[in-house]
Amino acid sequence: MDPEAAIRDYLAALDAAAAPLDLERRAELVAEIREHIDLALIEAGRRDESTVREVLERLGSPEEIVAVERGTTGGVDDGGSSSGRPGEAPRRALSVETRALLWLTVGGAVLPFLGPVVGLWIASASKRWSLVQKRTASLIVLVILAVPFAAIVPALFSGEFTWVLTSTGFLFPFVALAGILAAAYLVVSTSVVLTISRKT
Amino acid sequence: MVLGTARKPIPELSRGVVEHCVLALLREGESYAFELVRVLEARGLVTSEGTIYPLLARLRRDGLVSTTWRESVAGPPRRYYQITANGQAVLDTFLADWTSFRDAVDAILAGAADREE
Repeated sequence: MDPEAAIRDYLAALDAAAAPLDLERRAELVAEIREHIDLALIEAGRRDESTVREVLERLGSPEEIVAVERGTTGGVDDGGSSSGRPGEAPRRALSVETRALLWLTVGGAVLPFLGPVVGLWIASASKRWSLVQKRTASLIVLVILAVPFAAIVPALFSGEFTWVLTSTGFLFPFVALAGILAAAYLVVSTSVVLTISRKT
Repeated sequence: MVLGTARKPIPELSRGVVEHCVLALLREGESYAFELVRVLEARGLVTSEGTIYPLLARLRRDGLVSTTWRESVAGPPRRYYQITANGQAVLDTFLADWTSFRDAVDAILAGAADREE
C-alpha cells in the first residue's frame, strides 16, 4: 500500500475510534499522533512503505490508544474522559490566533493599514503558528500593501493630486485584501498541520 | 489476565507506573512528547507508543504537568511539558509507595528463588 495512504488510513481509523471523545480532545489526539508519525519518519530518514508500517505498528492500534484515553485500560483514574478537568486553566474566550485573524480580516476593512499590522503584531505572540508562517504572513501583507504605495507616492510627487483622490477607492480593496490573504494563508497552513481530523 | 501471558513491559504492571515515570523524567527537566516516548521505549516501558499521548493528556487535565508551545527550528511548534508543584507532590507520594511495594515484592520473590534452588 502507498505509505502516505497507509498514514491517512491510520489517522482516519484513529479519528473514527476517537468519536466518543469530546471534539476538541479528539482533534488534538489525532494531531498529536500525526505529529508523532512525522517525527518518527524524519528520525528514520525514510518514508517508504516498510518504514511507515513499522512506525504505525509501534504506535499500537487506534482502538488501543483510544481505550487508554477513555480509561478502559489506563486503570488509574475514574476513566471518564468527559469528567471534570480540575487542573486545566479556564479557556480564554478568544485565543491569540482568533484575535489575530479578526484583526487581519475585519480589522483590515475597518482600519485600513492599521488593522493588518495589529493583526500581525498579535499573531507574533502565537505559539501555535511557526516562525515561518508568521514571516510568510507578514510578507504577504507587506507586498500587497506596497502596491497602493507604489502607485500613490510617485503620483503625489508628480503633482497628480486629482488622480490620487479619484483612485483611492480603487486602491482600498488592496489594503483589505492584504489582511484577508494573510489570514487565509495562516488558516490553511495551520489546518494542514494540525486539524486534519475536523475534515472527516 | 492469565499469569505468564504478559510479555515484556508487562502491560498489567506498567499501568499507573509509566505516568509516574513521565513525571520523574520531567523532574529532570522539561521535554516534549516524542522525546519522552523515546526514553521510555529505550527502557522497555512502553510497547504501544501511541498510548503515551492519552497519558500525557491525563497528566495535563489533572494539573500534574503544564505545557508551553515553543517554536522548533524545523517543523511545527512543539509542546513542551513541565512538572507542576502538584506533579512533584504526586511523584513524591508514588516514590515512597513504590519503594515499599518493590521491597515487599523483592522479598517474596527472593524467598521463592531461594526455595527453588
